[in-house]
Amino acid sequence: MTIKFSYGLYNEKLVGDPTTSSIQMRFLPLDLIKHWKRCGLTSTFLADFIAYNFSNHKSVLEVMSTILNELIENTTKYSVRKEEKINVYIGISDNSLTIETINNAGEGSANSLQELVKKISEEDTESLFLNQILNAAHQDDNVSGLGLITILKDYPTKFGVKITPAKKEGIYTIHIMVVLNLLDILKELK
Amino acid sequence: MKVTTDDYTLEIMQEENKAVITGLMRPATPTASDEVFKDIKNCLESNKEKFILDVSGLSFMNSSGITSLARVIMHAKEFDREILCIIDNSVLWQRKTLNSLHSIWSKFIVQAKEQ
Repeated sequence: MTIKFSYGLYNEKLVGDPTTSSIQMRFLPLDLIKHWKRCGLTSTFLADFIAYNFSNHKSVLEVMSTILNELIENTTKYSVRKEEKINVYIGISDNSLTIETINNAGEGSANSLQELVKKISEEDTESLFLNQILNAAHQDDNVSGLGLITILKDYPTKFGVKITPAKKEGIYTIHIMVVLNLLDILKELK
Repeated sequence: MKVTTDDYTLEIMQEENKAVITGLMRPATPTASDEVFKDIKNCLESNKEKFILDVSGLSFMNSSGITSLARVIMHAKEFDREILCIIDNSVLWQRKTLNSLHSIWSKFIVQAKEQ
């Protein structure tokens, strides 16, 4: 069965303010898998770059690094071919900040993401977070599945997911977009 | 007892029934930091008094680390132990995520560090 799926921001006509600042990065998941610390380094570098647009640099850096780290860790973990590049884009306009990650995943990961999005659309994020963390903590396994839920629970965001078949059978291109309302974030940091 | 890595420092003061974690914890998997938290679990088992966990100096913790911490909280629940978690209210993830963990165990109390 071929999966073709889009949710949230990918179904909306995006009319945003012009981008005033942006950065894009491409890297191999393999490099991050080899040295996991590179996930944090990459997130903090990108967050630091973006945070210079704000007067409260340190607080924005903390928030951005937290969000980017979860997204970058996810793209790294769920990339099916670790030698195929991941894309991370960040763009800032007057009132919002957009992060988009693009990677290729296998059918199992694409299905799991689709199921997670369904849960997110149906349940309150606070109770979803609690259920997910209790499951992960009980199962004693190596996957928490909490990254995206934590972002949506803790920060004022809109998000979207798009899954399309890649050239190779059984491989899917996963787009995840998170848009943060800057005014709300800055209010939280006061 | 003190564990120091490139990323974080965990100091357990058994006499005070207290642990302080500083730096950043971004393990690759939830089980990767279980070993680190094992000593905290041991403290919870051996001492009935309130355990103080000071994470106010922990800049970052990823979702794998949070899951591992949740296992500590569930351990405290199993042994009916209270944990007072000291946070820095200006660090958003600490304020938001750790307060949510109170739902796991009512005796996991989050308190902001006095400035």
